Amino acid sequence: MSNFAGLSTGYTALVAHRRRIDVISENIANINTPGYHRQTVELESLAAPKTIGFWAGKRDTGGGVNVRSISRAGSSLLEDNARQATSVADQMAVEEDVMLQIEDAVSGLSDRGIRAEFDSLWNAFDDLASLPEDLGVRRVTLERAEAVGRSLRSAAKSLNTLHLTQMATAEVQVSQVNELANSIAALDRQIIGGQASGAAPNGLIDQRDLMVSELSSLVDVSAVPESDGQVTITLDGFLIVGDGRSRPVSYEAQPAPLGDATGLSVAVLVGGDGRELTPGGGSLGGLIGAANNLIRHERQALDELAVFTANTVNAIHSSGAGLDGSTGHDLFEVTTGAIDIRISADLDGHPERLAAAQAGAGVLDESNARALAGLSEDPDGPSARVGHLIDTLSVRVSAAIARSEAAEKSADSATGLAEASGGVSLDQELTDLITAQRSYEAAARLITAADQMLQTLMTTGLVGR
Amino acid sequence: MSFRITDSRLNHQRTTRIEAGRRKLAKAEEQISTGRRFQRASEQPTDASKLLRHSRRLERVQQFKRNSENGRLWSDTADQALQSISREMTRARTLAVQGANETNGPEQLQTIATDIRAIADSLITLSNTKVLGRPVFGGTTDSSDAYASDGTYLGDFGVVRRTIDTGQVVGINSDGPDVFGVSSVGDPLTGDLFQTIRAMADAVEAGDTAEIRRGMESVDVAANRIASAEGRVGAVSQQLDSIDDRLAGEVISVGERVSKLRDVDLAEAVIRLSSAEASYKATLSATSRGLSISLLDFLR
Repeated sequence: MSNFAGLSTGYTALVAHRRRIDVISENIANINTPGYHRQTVELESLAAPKTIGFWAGKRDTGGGVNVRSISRAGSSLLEDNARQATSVADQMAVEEDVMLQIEDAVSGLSDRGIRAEFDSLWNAFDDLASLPEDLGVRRVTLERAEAVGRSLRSAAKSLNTLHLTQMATAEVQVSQVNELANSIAALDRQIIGGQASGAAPNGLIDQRDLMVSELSSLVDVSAVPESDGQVTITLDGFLIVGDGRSRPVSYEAQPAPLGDATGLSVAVLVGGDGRELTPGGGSLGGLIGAANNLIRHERQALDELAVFTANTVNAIHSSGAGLDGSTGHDLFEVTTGAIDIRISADLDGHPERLAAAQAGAGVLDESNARALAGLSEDPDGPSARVGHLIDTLSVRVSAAIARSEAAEKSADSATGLAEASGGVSLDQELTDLITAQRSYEAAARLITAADQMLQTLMTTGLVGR
Repeated sequence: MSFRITDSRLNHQRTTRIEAGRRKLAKAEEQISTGRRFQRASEQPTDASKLLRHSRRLERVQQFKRNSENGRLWSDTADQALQSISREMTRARTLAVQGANETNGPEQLQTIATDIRAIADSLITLSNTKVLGRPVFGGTTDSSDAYASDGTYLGDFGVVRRTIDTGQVVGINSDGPDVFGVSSVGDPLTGDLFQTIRAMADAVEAGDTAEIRRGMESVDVAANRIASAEGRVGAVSQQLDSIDDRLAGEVISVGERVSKLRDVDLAEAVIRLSSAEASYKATLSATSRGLSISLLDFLR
């Protein structure tokens, strides 16, 4: 071993520990960077250089230390798990949000909600029965009937607006999916390039994985890491990122299916090959599901309620007679459903035509008004159906909330596990920092020692004089 | 296997815990300030459903109460009219007895007959007694009077009913012929009350004692009819009274149930609020302690 070996060993140690400190400072600097994975310096001892001549065959120490690689902490299995759990949680959160808005639209508990308007109508019919000759009471009764129509219309309109919002947001999110896929593919190309040049593109991988997480928060994608560092991403079997290239998906709003009276269009995600894709999860999955199912379901329930109410009330009303003896008028008019239920043109502005009397009975007979008021207690009447609609809705909303909470908890714990494997802990970094710093100091001391040894040899000794 | 605790995870957990505490506190505050146990049906679907059912019943019961009060108005009005009518009839009968006394001169008879005719007019007025503008003895007619001044019945035979509970209906009126008898073309003396009284006045004027006696018998029959009408009206009044009591009781009991389901128990809510407050404070203090600890504090 040469006299200079100590110097070079010390030098490798200085470089290696210097590198460790660099990496630790990188970790500390990025402690709050989203998607950042803790990096560690992997060290290896260097084999001693081959010796020849006098030293040959002697047992020898090694040649110092070398930085083998800078590795990136984290378990891809845990991260995959966290991504999927988050995707589900994001879907559930959108569904919860939409269900709460649906509940607001139908407003079961409010004093001016659909339920309250129906109750007021029945009571108005009873008041009409008490004072069938009073035009003021008749006008109030008509106004109550119109208020029932108005409450159904406004609930339906709110649902339509809600539907539009979901559709518009879904469209925006589809373009986000495409942009993310594009960026992921671009990063993949850089990662390949970086790896070819031998550098560890940990920062790029962090960025890419963060984007994959963002993507799976939008839709349920399956991301498979390839051996060359790239990822292959498929959405419902459709390849959107692979081999450094991305393929776009598109958004279509298709007209409502035949026989669907709501007239609400259907949001569809289409792959490049024209195949309809199921987003499966993520907020886009939630939005599309909400637009196509949740909101539509409630609109249909409202439509059925509107048509049923109109038919039931009209059947009784048209059999009766008004103050002017006219008979056969409908009270409500429905063209398609809840969106256009109103008092009929026959009755609008004609309170005297309200059929309080039974046809053929005295002008001030009130039995028809009483029959209409009696719908209130009919176990299969409109009011019972309103109650049923609100009950079902509130149970569905509370189930959606519970689902969302559970999904959020499980996403949270999955994210926690992933984070524990790849995140930065300040205390740990500080401890490592001290170790690295001490090691660096020791290496420096080593160089000093080697230098002094050489000096001893060259200046104070008699050798070479 | 134990996991590493990373700083961002710790921070996340801290914020989550603080948020949860804050939310619990806000919820307790909301309950107290709104006085409602829940703001949305989805918070307590079962209770909300019960609440909706009970409040619907409450509204209906209040309406039934209004209906029965309206019915009460009809029977009270009819009752008062019938009492006055009875009095007038007694007066007419007394006058007729005077007229039947054969000591009267023609002038006296003339005076008595005029008095009796005045009674007939006032009976017509009484028979047109109105409740909220409607003749109480006119059935379901829309004419403003039950009887014309000549005693013709203008009303119909419709029954006026009120719904006083689910599926429970009570008839609240008696029509004119029911109360005053049916008019007769051939023999006015045995016709309806007005015909009888007027015919009796004619008989008094003519001094026809036999006809006067026949008229008095007819008045007695009419009096019986009025009495039985009074009985019917009284029975309806009583029925409405007892129903009104029952409905008032139900308003209270259903109202209580509604309140129990809807309104917050203030004492309980305040306790919940202070416990939420205490746990929130504890979370904050624990978090603030954890936040300030790091290895950095101990490195020189």
